[in-house]
Amino acid sequence: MSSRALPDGARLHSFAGLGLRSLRARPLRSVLTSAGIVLGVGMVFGVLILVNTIHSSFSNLFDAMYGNTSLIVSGKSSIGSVPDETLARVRAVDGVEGASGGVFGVFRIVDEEGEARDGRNATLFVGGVDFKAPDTTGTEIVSGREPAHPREIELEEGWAEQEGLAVGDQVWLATPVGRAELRVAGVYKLQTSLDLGGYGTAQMPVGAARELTGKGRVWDEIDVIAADGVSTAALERRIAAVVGPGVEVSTPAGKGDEANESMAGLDIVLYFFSGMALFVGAFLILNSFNMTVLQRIREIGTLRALGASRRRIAASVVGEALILAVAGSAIGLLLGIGLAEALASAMRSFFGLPLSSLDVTGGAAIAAIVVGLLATVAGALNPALRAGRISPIRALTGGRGMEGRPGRRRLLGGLALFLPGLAIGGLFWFSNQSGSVLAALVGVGSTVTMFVGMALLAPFVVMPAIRLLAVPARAVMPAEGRLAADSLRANPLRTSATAAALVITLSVVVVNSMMSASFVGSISDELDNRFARDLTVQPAGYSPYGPPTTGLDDSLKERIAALPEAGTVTPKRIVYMMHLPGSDEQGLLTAVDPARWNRVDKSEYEGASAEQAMAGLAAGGVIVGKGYSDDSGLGVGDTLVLKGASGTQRAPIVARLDTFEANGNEVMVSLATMERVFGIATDSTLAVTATSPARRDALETAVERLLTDRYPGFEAVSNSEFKSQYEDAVNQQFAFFNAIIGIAVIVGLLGIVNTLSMSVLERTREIGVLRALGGSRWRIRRAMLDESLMISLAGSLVGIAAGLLVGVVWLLSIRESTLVGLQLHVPTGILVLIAVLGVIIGTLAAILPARRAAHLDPLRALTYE
Amino acid sequence: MRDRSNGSASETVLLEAEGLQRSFGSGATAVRALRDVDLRVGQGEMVAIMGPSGSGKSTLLHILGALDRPDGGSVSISGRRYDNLSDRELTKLRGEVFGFVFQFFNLLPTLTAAENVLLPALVNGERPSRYAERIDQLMEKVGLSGRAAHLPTELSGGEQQRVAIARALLREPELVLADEPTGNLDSASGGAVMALLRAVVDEGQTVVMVTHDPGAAALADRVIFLRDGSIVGAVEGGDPGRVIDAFRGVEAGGGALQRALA
Repeated sequence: MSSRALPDGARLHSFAGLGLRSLRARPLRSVLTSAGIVLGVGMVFGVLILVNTIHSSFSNLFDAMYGNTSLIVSGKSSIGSVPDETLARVRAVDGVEGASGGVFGVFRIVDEEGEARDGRNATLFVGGVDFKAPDTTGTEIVSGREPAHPREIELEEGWAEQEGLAVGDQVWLATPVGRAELRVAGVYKLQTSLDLGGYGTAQMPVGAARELTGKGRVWDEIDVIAADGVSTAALERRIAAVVGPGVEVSTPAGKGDEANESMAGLDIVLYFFSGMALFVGAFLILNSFNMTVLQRIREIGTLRALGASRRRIAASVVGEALILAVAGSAIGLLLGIGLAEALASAMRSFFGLPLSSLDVTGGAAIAAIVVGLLATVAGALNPALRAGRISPIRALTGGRGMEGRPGRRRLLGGLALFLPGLAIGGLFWFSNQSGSVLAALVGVGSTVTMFVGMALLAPFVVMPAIRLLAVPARAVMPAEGRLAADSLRANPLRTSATAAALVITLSVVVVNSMMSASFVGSISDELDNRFARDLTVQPAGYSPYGPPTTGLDDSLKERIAALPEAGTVTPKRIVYMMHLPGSDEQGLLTAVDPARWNRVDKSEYEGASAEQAMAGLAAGGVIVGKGYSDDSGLGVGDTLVLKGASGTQRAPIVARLDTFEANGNEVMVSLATMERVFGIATDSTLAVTATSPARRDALETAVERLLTDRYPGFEAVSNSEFKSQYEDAVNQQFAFFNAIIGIAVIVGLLGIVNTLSMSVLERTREIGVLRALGGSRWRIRRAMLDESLMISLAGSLVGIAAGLLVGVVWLLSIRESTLVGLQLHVPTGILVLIAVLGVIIGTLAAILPARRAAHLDPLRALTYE
Repeated sequence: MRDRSNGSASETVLLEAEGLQRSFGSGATAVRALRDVDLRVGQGEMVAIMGPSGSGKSTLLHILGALDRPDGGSVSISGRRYDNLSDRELTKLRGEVFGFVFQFFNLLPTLTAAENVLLPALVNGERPSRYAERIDQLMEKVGLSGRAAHLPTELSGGEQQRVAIARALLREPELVLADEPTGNLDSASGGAVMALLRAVVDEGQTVVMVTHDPGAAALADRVIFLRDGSIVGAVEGGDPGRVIDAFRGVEAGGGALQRALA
C-alpha cells in the first residue's frame, strides 16, 4: 500500500474530475457555453433586483412620507378629488387626534430666465403642508426653519445637497399660474431615510400650494393621526362612514400595497423577458453538449467498455454542464447588478418611476442561481441521456453517431405546443390592461410553450430556408457555397437548433415591434382623422400615462383666447383611473366642453351624430370608448352610475367613441359633470385653432411667446409634434422590452459561434483536403463565413416569418375581442433591420471559427482522426 | 480438429462459449454475423481470432467482452454465465472481469498516461491512492517509466498502445480482449506491442485478440479462423508461415483451406 494520494503523473482524484479536464481542453466552447448562462442568470438576477427595487421604493416612499400618519383619506378615482368640507368632517370624528389636508404638485424646475431643465431632476414634487396642524409626516428640520411665508419652501436634504441648494437660495418653479419664485426657508429630512434616485421632494405652506396647483377647493388627501389608544381599524370604519362615496380611507401600508399590486403585471412581464435569455441559454447548452457528445462517441464508448454505467456517463455530462453553470452564475450575478442599474435608470427616464438605489438581496441571488442551474440541467438532460445510451461497442467501431432527421413525432409535438400559445397568447399580453397576476401567468405560460413548440418545429422550416439560401451562394461561389450548404445539411438538427435560438429571440422582437407599430399606427391614423385643432397646449412632456404633472391655469386659457390669431380655445381634462366607472379596467376619464369640442375634434361616434353626442354630454350623459363598451357590455341607451368624491350621478350612455387611446378604455363627460361628480376643475390640455389656416404660423408664434414669457414649463405642440410625442411614448415602452430581449439575441449569437467552431473541428480533415488541393486561406474563410451567414440569415428570415405569423394572429385576435378596427401595421423598417442584423450576426460569429479554420496546418489536418 | 479449436482439455477452462448466434437487421436484409460458434479459452492461454472482413470476428469479440449480447447460445467466464445479463450487470462485469485494448488506443486525450492507466479504477469509483504503486509497476512493465505525466499527443502510437495495455491490466482482469492491437501501428511498434502482450501472457494473463496480422497472430498459443460467422479451423501458434498459409486458405475458402490446415 502506498501512502501517496495519487500515482505519479496523475492529478485526477475522481471520475468527476474528468469533466473539468475536458472543459479545460475546449476553452472556447466552454467559455461560449457558459456565456449563455452568464447572460441568462445576469438577466434574471438583474430583473429580480429591478422588481425588488421597484417594490421597496414604493414601500419606503410610503413609510417615509407618512411617518406619523395613521390613516389617509383620498379620492378613489384620482388625486385632487377630496372635497374641501371633508376635512372638517374627518376632524370631527371621535378618535382623530389631528387631521391635515394636503395637496401635491409636480412642477418643472426652471432657471431665472424661465428655461426648463431636462432629465429626471427636472421636476420637483411639492407637498402643501399645514404647518400649524399636527405633524403627519414626521419630518425634521436640519437647517433653517419651516416655511412661514407663502413664497417659502423647504427642501428634502438629499436633493438639496445634490442640487447644491441651501437655506436662503432661490428656486423657480413652472406652475400653472406662471413662474413662481420661492425662497428656500429650510432643509428637512424624512423620518426614515429615503432614496428617490434623484427625484426631488419639497414642502411649502398648504395655502400657497393650493394656489400654485389650482386646487383651491379640493384636497389631494387628508392625513389623519389617531388619538392614543384608538384602534386604527375602528377609526378607519368611523371615518369611512362620514366621507362621500368617491372617497376612500386607507392605511399608509395599504397604500403602499396598492401601489405594489398595480405593478404585479409588469413584474411578470419583466420575469418573462428575462426568462427568454435563460431559455436561449439552455438551448445553447443543449446544442453545445449534443455536439460534444457526438464528437466523443468513441471516448464515451471506451468509458462504457471500462465499466462506466449509463448513469455515470449521463451524470458526468450533467456535471460538466453544472461546472459551467456555477462558474457562469457567479459572473452572471455581477453582470446582473450592472443590468439592473441600466434597467432602473431606463425605467426612471422612460416611465418616470422614482426608483431608489438598487435593492440587492441574497434571496434574489439564490433564486437567479437556482433558476440558472435548473435551466442548465434542462438543457443538458437530452445530451446526457444520449451519452448514456451510447453503446460500449462504439469504443471499437467509433464513428460519428448519425444525427437523426426530424421525425413525425417531433412535428406533431411541436404543433401541439405551438398552436395553443399562438391562439391564446395575444389575448393575455395586450388586451388585459388591468395586469392581473393570473392573466400574466397564463400569458407567459402559453407563450413559453409556444416557443418550445417553435423550437421543435424549427428544423422543418429552417432546412428548406437553408436550401433556398444555398442557391445564390452556390451561384456566386460554387465550391465554398456547396461546402457550406452541405455541411449544414449534414447535421439538420444541429443547424436548426442553432438557428432556432435566433428564430425565437428575433420573432419576439418582431412581435413586439409589430404590436407597437400597430398601436402607434392606429393611434396616428386616428389622430389624423380626428384632430381639427391647430395647436395643443400642455405641460411640457405631458402624457396621460406618465408621471403626474400640473394642470393648466384659467389665466393661460384666457390669455390665449385673447390673442387675435386664436379662434377656438377649449380644454380637455384627463384623469387616468385605476378603475373606470362601472368597470374594473384602467383607463381615461375625460371631460370636454360640449359646446366647443366639435370645433377642434372630428371624432366619429356610433349611435349618435357628433352634434347629438355633444348635446347628450351637455345634458349630463357620457360617451364611452369602444374598448370600454366591449369589455363592460355597456352600450348606447344603458345608464352608467358615476360616483365621485363630490357626488353621484346617473348618466345615460349617449354614444360610442371610436378610439384606440388607452385601448379604447375611455369614459367622456362634460366639464360640468366632471366638476360636479369628481370635483376636478383643472384643465389638462388646451386645443387651439387659428382664426384661419393662413394664421396658423402666426398663432403658434404668438402662443409660444406667451408661454416663454409667462408660463415656462408649458409647451405648444403642433399636431405632427403631438403625434410623434405619442409615438415616442409608446415606442419607448416597447423599446424597453426589446432591450431586454437584446440580451437573448446575444446568447443566440454565441450559439452560432459555438456551432461553427465545433463544425471546424469536425471538418478538420475536409478543410485539410481543400487546403491540400490549393484552396487558399481566403477561400476557407469564405466557406466558413458562408456557413455562418446561411445559419444566421435562415434564422432571422424564419424568425421574421414566425414573428409575423404570431403578430398577425395575435393582432387579429385582439381586434376580434377588444380593439375592433385596429389597423395591422407591419414595421418594415424593423424587419429590414433584423435581416441586416442577421447578416451582421452571421459575420461576427464567423470571425473566430474562420480564423481557426484558415490557420489549420494542411498536413496535420489531413492526418486528423 | 474440434479438440484443437476448443483448447486442450488438460488446462483449466476460463472462457466457454457454446452455440453463439447473433444476427443484425431483420427480414430479407438480416445478416447472420455468428452461426453456432463454440469456443473455449483456457486459463493463461492467448487466442488469436482471424478471418476476412465480415467474418464475424468483431461480433464475437463484442460478445466475449460483454459489450454485446448474443441472440442465442451461452457464454460464461469462470463458470459465470453472462449472455443473459442486463445492461447494468454487463457494465459491472466489464469493469471487474475484462480488460480492453483497442485498435485506435482510445486514450482520453485530456488525461496523462498515468491518468489513462488509472481510468478503470476511477470509472469503478475506486480511490486512486490504492493504485499508486501498481501504476508505477505497470508503467515500468510497458517500458514507459518517466513518461507517466505525458499526454497521449506527446507519445508515439506504439507508446500509446502500451499505455492502453497497462490500462487494461490495472485491475488484474480475468481476461484481456484486444481488437487489432497492431492495426494502427508500424511494424516495429507493432512488434514491441505484441512482445509485451506475449510477456503478459507468459506471466499468466489470458488474452483473446482479433487481428489481421499473421505475424501477430503467430505469437498466440492458438489461432482460430472465422468465415461467414462460423469457426472454420484452427492452428497452433508459433509459426508465422503456417498461420499465413491457413489465413490465405480461409480467404480462398473450400479446398484451399483444407489443404492449408492439413
